[in-house]
Amino acid sequence: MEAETGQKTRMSQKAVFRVGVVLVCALVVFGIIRQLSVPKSFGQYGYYRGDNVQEWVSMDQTFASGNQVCAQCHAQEVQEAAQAEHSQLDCQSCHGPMQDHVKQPNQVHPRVAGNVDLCGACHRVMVGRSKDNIRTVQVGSHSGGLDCIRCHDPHQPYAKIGGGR
Amino acid sequence: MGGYVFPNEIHVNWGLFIVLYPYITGLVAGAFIVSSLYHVFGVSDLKPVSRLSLVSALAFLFGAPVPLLLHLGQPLRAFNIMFTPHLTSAMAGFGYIYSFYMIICLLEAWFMFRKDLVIFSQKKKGFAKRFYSLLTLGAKDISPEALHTDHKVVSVLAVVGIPSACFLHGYVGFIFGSIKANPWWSTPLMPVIFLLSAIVSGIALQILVYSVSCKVRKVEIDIPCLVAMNKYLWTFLIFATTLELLEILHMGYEGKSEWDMVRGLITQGIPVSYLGVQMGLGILTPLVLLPFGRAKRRSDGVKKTLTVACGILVLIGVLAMRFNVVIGGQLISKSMAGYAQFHWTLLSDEGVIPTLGILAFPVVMTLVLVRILPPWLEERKVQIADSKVTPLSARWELKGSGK
Repeated sequence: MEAETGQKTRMSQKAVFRVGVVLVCALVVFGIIRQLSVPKSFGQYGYYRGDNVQEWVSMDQTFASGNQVCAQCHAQEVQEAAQAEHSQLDCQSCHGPMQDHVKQPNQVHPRVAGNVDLCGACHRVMVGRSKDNIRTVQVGSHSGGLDCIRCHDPHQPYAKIGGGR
Repeated sequence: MGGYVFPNEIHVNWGLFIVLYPYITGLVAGAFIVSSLYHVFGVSDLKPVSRLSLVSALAFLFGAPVPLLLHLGQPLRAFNIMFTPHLTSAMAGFGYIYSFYMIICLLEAWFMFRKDLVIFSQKKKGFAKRFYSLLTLGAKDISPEALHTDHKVVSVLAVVGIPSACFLHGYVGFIFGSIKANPWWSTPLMPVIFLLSAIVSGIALQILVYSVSCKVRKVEIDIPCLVAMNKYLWTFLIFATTLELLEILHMGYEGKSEWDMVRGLITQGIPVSYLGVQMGLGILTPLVLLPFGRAKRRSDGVKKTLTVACGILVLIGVLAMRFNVVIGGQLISKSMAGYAQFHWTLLSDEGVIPTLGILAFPVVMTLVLVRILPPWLEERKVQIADSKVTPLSARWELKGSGK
């Protein structure tokens, strides 16, 4: 009789056992996937992949090292810009990364698009953009579809239009 | 509206998808609580919806991470919070909290439906037979002793499930409540408010799902069950409303410097969705109408109409509440000198149509799951015990199977 009761109890717990096995298997699979997918260097320096630091260090430099590099060939433009409204900008803020041009000045000639998309990035009217600090315009109505550089020289923004603001 | 906002606040980053995240998660928690009211607390009137509630909780649980994954844009990155857990980030806790709750729900559903699975695996043919056989995991013993064990396990899981459901949704509220820089979110009441509104929305969902399922299956609605849900909806709605009003009144009475911004948000930023939909349609109207929907002298038709209508209103109201919290909080600039604007779109950028699609997903999942795991009591021909169900022992199924 006791043996029969014991048998029944074992039978009745079969479902719990099976589910337990499935859960343990799921945990093991999770552990294996985790082991395979987390990079070895994760947590080396902090909550990120340690190798990432070395990857950034070994990446090719795309930006030249500041306006003084540009001034070696484009002294006049750099000087003009230094005296006008955009004096605080780096040349590459508008012209883009120039390291390749510095390395191969005659082969690589990047062109800057002086259109409303580029200039509007700073000069378009926006809710969070104070007019006290930066001159903003409704680019559509202000330019009438023309590129900004038709009237404004970015190095001396008001020179072409007679210095008027 | 207007004023000064910082450039990184112009675009409202958490859009309608993130509105759905606490909404769907809340529906899960609420549906699970309805199921537990019967299984743990012995509210026998709710028996007709107890299994249906668990199935729909499961279906909505499958849908809960969908808006998050689509909002991420890179859904596979979601696994990173599982593989490399971050112990000091509340937001990164979602993966484990959600998974734990999912396991509890799946286990409870499995043990609750095991007998059905075994019967289906014996009666069905072809693919369905193999499918149900697979779902039984080979545990095909449906002797009274085995089912008794099932019931003990279901009771334990239901007991564990309630704090888990509360934790899951309380946690979602905690994410918002712990953002100290945002006066509209930052309050320790937020997890409790979220939890209560979740329970409210979950009960409302069950009213709707149960009524629609009865209509579709051409079965009479069990009026005592509907009245019980009406009563629980009303009770929890009172608690939820009290806390929501307490929070706002407390903020207003204290009158700290940020109150002006919050007042401006309520009166000018989101007056329609907050005062109109959330408070008026979603809270005030059901609070007044629900008692009429269970008054003894009303006819069954009136009871059904009023209770179901209130359920729909509450569901809309809680959705508006999620919108007001998630979107409203992002409209207040950290500069405390202006408000951003939310732009409705139809398709692009978490637009209305994709949002409705995501909302439809758990509904479709419910339809699929009730096909796989039919929760209808009538069809099971279970002899329901005359005795009252005592807490921690949902005996009806055992008695039905034992005879």
